[in-house]
Formats: sequence, structure tokens, C-alpha cells
Amino acid sequence: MGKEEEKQSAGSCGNSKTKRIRSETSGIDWISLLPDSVIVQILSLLTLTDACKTSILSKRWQYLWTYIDNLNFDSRDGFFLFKTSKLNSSSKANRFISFTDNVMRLHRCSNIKEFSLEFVLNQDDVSTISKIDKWLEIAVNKNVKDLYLKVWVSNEQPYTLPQVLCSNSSLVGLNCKYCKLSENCVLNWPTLKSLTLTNLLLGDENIKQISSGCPQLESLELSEFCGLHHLHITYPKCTRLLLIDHRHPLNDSDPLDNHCFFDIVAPFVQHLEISGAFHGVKFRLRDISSLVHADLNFHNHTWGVTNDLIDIKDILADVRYASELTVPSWFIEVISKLMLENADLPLPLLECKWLTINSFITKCSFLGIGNLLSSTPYLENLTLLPELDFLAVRIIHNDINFLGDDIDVLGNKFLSFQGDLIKGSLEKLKNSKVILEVRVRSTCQHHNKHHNEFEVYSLKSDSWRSIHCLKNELLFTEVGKFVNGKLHWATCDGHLHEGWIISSIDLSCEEWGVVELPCYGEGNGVFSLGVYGSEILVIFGSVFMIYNPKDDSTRYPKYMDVGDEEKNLVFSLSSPNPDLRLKSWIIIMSTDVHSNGNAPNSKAFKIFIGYDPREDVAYEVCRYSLLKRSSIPLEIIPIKQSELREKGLYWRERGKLESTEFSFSRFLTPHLANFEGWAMFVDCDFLYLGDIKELRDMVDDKYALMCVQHNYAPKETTKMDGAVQTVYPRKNWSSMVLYNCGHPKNKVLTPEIVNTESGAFLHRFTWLEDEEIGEVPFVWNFLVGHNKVVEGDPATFPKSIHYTLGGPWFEAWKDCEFGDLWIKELEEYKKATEKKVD
Amino acid sequence: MMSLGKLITLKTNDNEEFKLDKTVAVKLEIIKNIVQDVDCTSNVIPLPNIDGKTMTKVVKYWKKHSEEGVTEVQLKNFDQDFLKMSHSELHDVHLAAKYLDDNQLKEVIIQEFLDRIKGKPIEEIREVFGIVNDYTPEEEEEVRRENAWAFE
Repeated sequence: MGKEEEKQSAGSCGNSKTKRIRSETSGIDWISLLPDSVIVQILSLLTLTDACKTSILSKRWQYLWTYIDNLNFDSRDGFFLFKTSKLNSSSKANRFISFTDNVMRLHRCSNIKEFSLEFVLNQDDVSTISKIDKWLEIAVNKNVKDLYLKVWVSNEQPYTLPQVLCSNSSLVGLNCKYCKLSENCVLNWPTLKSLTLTNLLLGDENIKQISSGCPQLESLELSEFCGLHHLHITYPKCTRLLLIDHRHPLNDSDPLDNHCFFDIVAPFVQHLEISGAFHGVKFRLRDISSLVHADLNFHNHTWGVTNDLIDIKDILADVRYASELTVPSWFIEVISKLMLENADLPLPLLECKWLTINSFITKCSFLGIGNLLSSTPYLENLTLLPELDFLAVRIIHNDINFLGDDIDVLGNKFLSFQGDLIKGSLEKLKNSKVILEVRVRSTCQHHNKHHNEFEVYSLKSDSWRSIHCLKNELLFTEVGKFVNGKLHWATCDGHLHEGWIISSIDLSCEEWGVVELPCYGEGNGVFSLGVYGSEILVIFGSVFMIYNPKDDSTRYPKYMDVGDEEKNLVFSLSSPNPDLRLKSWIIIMSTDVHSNGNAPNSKAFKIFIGYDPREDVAYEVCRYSLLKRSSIPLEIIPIKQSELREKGLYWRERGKLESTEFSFSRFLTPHLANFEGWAMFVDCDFLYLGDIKELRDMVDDKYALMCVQHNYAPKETTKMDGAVQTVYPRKNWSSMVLYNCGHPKNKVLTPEIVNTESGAFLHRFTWLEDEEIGEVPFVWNFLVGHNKVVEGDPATFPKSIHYTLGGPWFEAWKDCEFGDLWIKELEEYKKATEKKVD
Repeated sequence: MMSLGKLITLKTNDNEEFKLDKTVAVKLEIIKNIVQDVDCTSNVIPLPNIDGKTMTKVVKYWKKHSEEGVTEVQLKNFDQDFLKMSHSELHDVHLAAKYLDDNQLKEVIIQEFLDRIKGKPIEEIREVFGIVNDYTPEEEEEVRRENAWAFE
């Protein structure tokens, strides 16, 4: 352990503490002895705000920063955001403008390699726009090579690119977001190699100019675009074309034209990606004869089924020469559905050697997959990724009625059926094995015990074999991760919040194994695996580490501060990305069978608990009571004010009316959940008596949030610790809230708003209309002293008790109503932690 | 021109000799170029600007980075350990890398310098590197005033 601990602390502290190397005894200032060019190079790697500050170090350093050749201005830099938190947003903008203006004025280097400007203007300020024009002109005069521009002025009047940028012979890379091309502009970029345009209204005229004025173009990426009908890119060097999200740049909900059609001619493009939303849009790929890699991961929910097939057949015919092909799950769904009506459904012959199918596996989808495989005679490698993205889940939901008894079919019959169906097509694939992971939820046992069995089909021997896992009650939470010849799962012992281990199955000898990791650290929350090259990333609560199956070693990444970004990294790395390094290909299918037929939600439900250091024990007991009774994976995160302050997410001064540290920080919940999915906030003075899954199952996406809607006027005038009680509408609603974090209305809950808005605005959910607030039964926020149990009416039995006046952890409230339940839970919690220590 | 099949000897300014075998040398463009430029009848390449202590580090780095079958992770871990050196050693290795025109090593060193500066307040940077503040209080005040936009 000692060594691991050392490693971890070295990682967690980064460079600031453990690696602090004091000036050496020699007293020589080695860094200042480096040549100017090297110091400038170091400075250019710092943020611009930090680099400018080095002018004060010593005379040697005074002007060095002015020779940096990459200038990155970002108004979201902490320097502008946090240091000036008390200023209003327009003076923050002024600070940023003044900073940028001064840097551009003092900058001495005659060339600028890289210039980027990210800036959201709050008002349509003419003088600012002329300043931006001026900065860009300076950059252009200094022969800027790479330019990144993200300037947002307003929806009605986007920033117009100045003509000096539109015709420019030094630019090599240009990336523009939220800007506008003036109607009479001439686009001419003779040296441009890479062009990315995001959220720009593009007309056929603009595309025409791009098609003729950029002879060096190698890569073209259009995101959030619409308005064009012909995309003809015929430059011989242009080998990369990416089209992501077709929508109107100025209007999120309504595409410009609901039945848009465009055609693509790109005879030299080798890498084509069409992904994201293409609702109501059709396209044809007219000439893409050089295509090697085609990723068609786009979705479209507006095409009618009967016409879909024609389109899918057309698209498949267009990409038939690609040797690597990725097709989305809805292709498979459409093909499969039609095959149920008419089994003979020829698809165009494809020449691809590597095929990736993103598809949730159902009996029905095997029809489509089988068909696709029979039209790919040259296939060498196949990956099926049964990833549960939102779209896949939606399709499955639609299909449940359609499939009828599919869910109930189990056992060998089911397996053989699937095996037979695709066996013929797979014979050409070498070393193929079909792994079917079957998880059967046993109904007669305790509700969260699972029995696991894996069925492996081997092509060589044409036989099935069952592999039983070591322990009967292991719970598998995710699709297996394939690394180094083994499939790995994050598993726990059936209680969801303890006993996490990595279980593996070796596909060559078909044996079970358990990976012994030296130390999981003090993680809690969800245990999750990701794949990165030939290694496995392990996330356990806030602990992040990397396991190498080859030499059975573990290490902690250099930076241990696992922010949300790193967590996302793991998930995105494990998402549908064909890992080209795999040698023998394996089809991994996952069939998770639940009695109710719902597609499983493998992601943990996020619960944020308001944390107050004065009520630490209340937090622990609340957390314990949640985890103990939950039958779904939970990720429990305390909202600690001190941590939020450190991260710069919270800066308001504590007001006299705040009874707890999380009075305001609670409203950061959607932000902390990345504005994704549903997450719950709950005060720490709750005791859960019911399974949180019941509450989770009540969520309805039409609401922005859901809570218990008390009609309540407090009897007491003092709250915790003598803080004064205030009376207001929607009182006590915010103590337990299910947030639909992805709901557009909740986007207003930025740190900025949470730190500046009044308590009344926040606690009364003033940003929402009544009909956007859903209701859940009061038993989920049972107010002690207010709500009453009606004997014999189970609908009034509390599922979670809210000790809103102060709970038994305060001496004065020891004997309050339901206090005995809390004390019992506390004792149980203490016992459980003691056990862990033993 | 000498054959790459033999051992190559690099000799530092304090007469320390480093023998590199083909597998290491072949992968290093820098050595190839030096080999082509130098009279190599003796197979010894003099390195007048580099001392033995520094060259030991450079060679250690080269050898690890040209090992057969070494994984990226192992290299990362190696680099992390390798960079645990004093500022002066770091400075010397940088000079050597520059002389040897080894861009990869140069970058690694610059990144390390960066990591030692990053996120630290001015006072701490001065302290860590022993940078002597040679502004008079009046001068410093003036620089701060002129550049107030960068400090406030």
C-alpha cells in the first residue's frame, strides 16, 4: 500500500506540492539563463493571462511575453470570470476587451501563428465590434496561420466576418463559430488547408466560392449548418469531409426547411463522417469514389419507414467501395422491420472489410444484421456495439410492442436461433466467437440478486458452451470491455455500492478471472470501466486509475483532479469507436433481460446531497439510507460549499437568511450533472425509507423538474441554529428536487445566475412556469411536524422523512417525531463502517 | 561514412565515452546526421558542448525510447521519473538536446519547465527558480501600473 499511496499522492497533488523543487543551493537562476526563444516557447504554453503577468518577475522577463506567436483570448478564462466575480457582466466584458486590446497593442512579434478569440458579447455593441475587426486586422497583417473565432453577439445580428479574413492568403486553418458571412463577401483562401464552420448559415453561393477559392483544402467540416443544396468539393487534396448536425444556426427547434435535400460530390474524399441530427434532411452521395472510411452515425427520426429503405439502400450503394464502414442502429432497425414483412430484401453488395454496427441487439435486429452481413462478402472484421445511446433506447421502446414475446424467450433455444441466423455470414471471419452475455433477474430471490451465465459460441467447433462466473451473485453494470484477449466487466457483489471488482473472461481459454487491483482508494459511487488503447481506465467515485492487463500493473494518471471532463473522457473512449488494434474480432452482445421489458439504464442515477459541516452525520446517514435501499446504481455526490468555492463555481457571500451552506449551491445541480439526464438534489436532513428507484421511475421528460409540492406555511419562526425562517410561495419545494438537467429551461442555472440571483428567484423556481414543474407524492418529502400518516392508508406512509425543523442529530430535536428511526439508522450506519474498518 | 552495424562511441567534453549500438543509433536521425558529418575513422564522435553527467541522462532517455516493444504507458512513467531533476540539470539536458537537435527531448524539457511554472503566483515562481527581482520598488510599481489590465 505504501508505494501506491505515494504514487497516488504524487498524482493528486500534481506539480504544485510534491514536485516543488526549491531554488538550488547554487543560487543560479537557471530558467532565466535559457535563451529568449526557449522562454518565449514556455510562455506561449501558458494561458495568455498568466504569460502577461511574468513581466513583473524581473527586468529580463519584462517584454519576453510580447514575442509569443500564439495568442489565445478566451473570455471564459478564470482571470476574467472569478477574480471579478463581484462585477456585473458588462464590466467583465470590458475587462476582457481592455486586456485583449492591450495585448494586441503591445505585441511585438512580427508573426502570429495561432490566434483565437472566444467571446460572448452581452449586447450589440458597435464599438466592441469595431475593436474585434481591428484585432483581426492586426492578426491578418501579422500573417496569422491558424485562426479560431467564436464570437457570439446576438441571434439576430451575428458577427460578420471582415473581408480581410474572407480573402486571405496566409491562413492555413480557419475555424469559425457563430459568425456570419456578409452577402457580398468574396471567399478566397488560396493557402487554406483546413476549414471548420459551425453554426453558420451557408448558402449555395458560399459553398460555390469555397469550392473554387480554396485549392489547397484538405479537410472541410460543417457543423450546425443548413441552407445549402449542393456540396461539390472537387479539390484533389481534399480527403476529409465531416458533416455534423444539420440544423438552422439561428433557431434550435425549427429547421429552415423541413424537407431539405442536398447532394454531395466529393470524388477525392477518403474519410467521410455524417453524424448527429439530420432530421428531415435527405442527401445523396453522388460521387465519392475515393472513399475509404465512412462513418454514417447520423440519426433521423422524421423519415417514414417505407421510404427509408430506398434511402438506406441508396446510401449503402453510394458507400459500397468504402473499406471501413460504420452504420447506425436505425439502419438495422428499418431493415429488420421490413424483413419481418418481406424476408427477401436484397441490399447492395458492399466491399467493406471492416464493419461496425451500432445496434442494440434484439431478436428483430438480427434479421437486419444477418442481411447486412450477407451482402458484405469481403468482410474481415466486424464489431457490434450494443451501446445504449439515447436513440437506441428510444428505438427499443418503440419495438417492444412490435417484438411481442421477444423479451420472454430465453435459454438455449433463443441463443441457437440467433447463432444460426448469422452463422452462415460469419464463416468467413477468422477466429470469431460469439459471446452472449445473459443476465437473468431471478424472481424468486431477493430483489437485487442476479445470476450470471455467459454463453460462448465458437465457430470452429460450431458449438455453444456455458461459462459460469465464479460467484453467483455478481452484478454486471456495463457492457464488457475487450482488452488484451479478455473481456472485462465492472462487477459488484449484488449490493451495488460495495464489493466492486473487475471480473474478466479470457476468450482463448474461456475462463473466469478476477483482477486484483492493489488499491481502489477511497472511492465511492459508481465504478466504471473504459478502454484506452490496450489499457483499462477505472473510475471509482473520484478515483481515476489506469490498469494495464498485459503486465497487471496499475498507475494513477499524473493529474488526479478528476473533474467531470476526465469522467466524460472515459465514457467517450469506450463509446462506439472501432479500435483498429484488435486482431481477432469478437462479437460482443449483451442481452439484459428484465421482467418488465424496459431497456436497462446502465448509468447510475446521480444524487446530490447538500452538505453542511455542522451536519456531517446527517449527510452520512442520509447517504447510507439511500444506498441501502436502492435497487439501481447510484452516484452520490455531496455539494460542499468549500469545494465549489475552490473550483470557482460558487462565490456568493453567506447571507443572514441562509440556514445551511447549501441554501444556494443546491441550484448548481444541473450544472454539476453537465446538464444531462435526470439528477436529484436532496437536503442532508432526509432519511430514506423506500427504494429510490420508485421515485426515479416517476420522472417525465416533459417537466423541467419534479418535486413534492407542499402547500405549507411553517409554524416555527426559527429554523436551524436560530436562523430566521422566511415564508414564501413554493416553500420547501427545493429541498428535494428531481432535475431534468438537459431541459432547455434549466440551462439558465449557470454558476453566474446561481451566484447572483436572489434567494426568492431560486427557491421559488422563478425561471419555470407552473406546468413545467411536475409533482411527486408527498411521501417522498415527508415533512416532520407537518405531514401526517393516516393509519391504514399506505399512500401516506413516508418514503423519505424530512427533518426540516432540525433532526435528532441536534440535541434539542433528539425526541422529535420519527427521531427513533433516524437514530436506528445511525447505529446501523456506524456498525457498517466499523465492519469496513475491520 | 561509417557503417551503422558497429558500435558508435560518443565522447563528452570530460572524456566520458558512451557506446551506442545500432538499434539505438538507427532510430535517431540526429546521430545519423552527426555520423555523416564527422570524420569517423575512429568511430568516436566528440561532443565538445556536453559533459558526461548530462550525456548519461540523454543516453538513458534515448535507450528507453528506442526499446523494442516498449508501451506508451511505460514511456510516460519513464519520462515522469526522468524529469525528476534539478533546474540546473534540466537546463543542461535542454542545451544538450538542442546541440544534438533532438526535438522530442527539447519539447519534453520545455514541458517540464512549464509544469514547474504553471498556475503559480509570481512570488512563488521567483522563489522556486530563484529569480532575483531586479526592479526597484518604484520601477515595479510602474510596470504594475502600466500593465494594470493584466494584474487586476
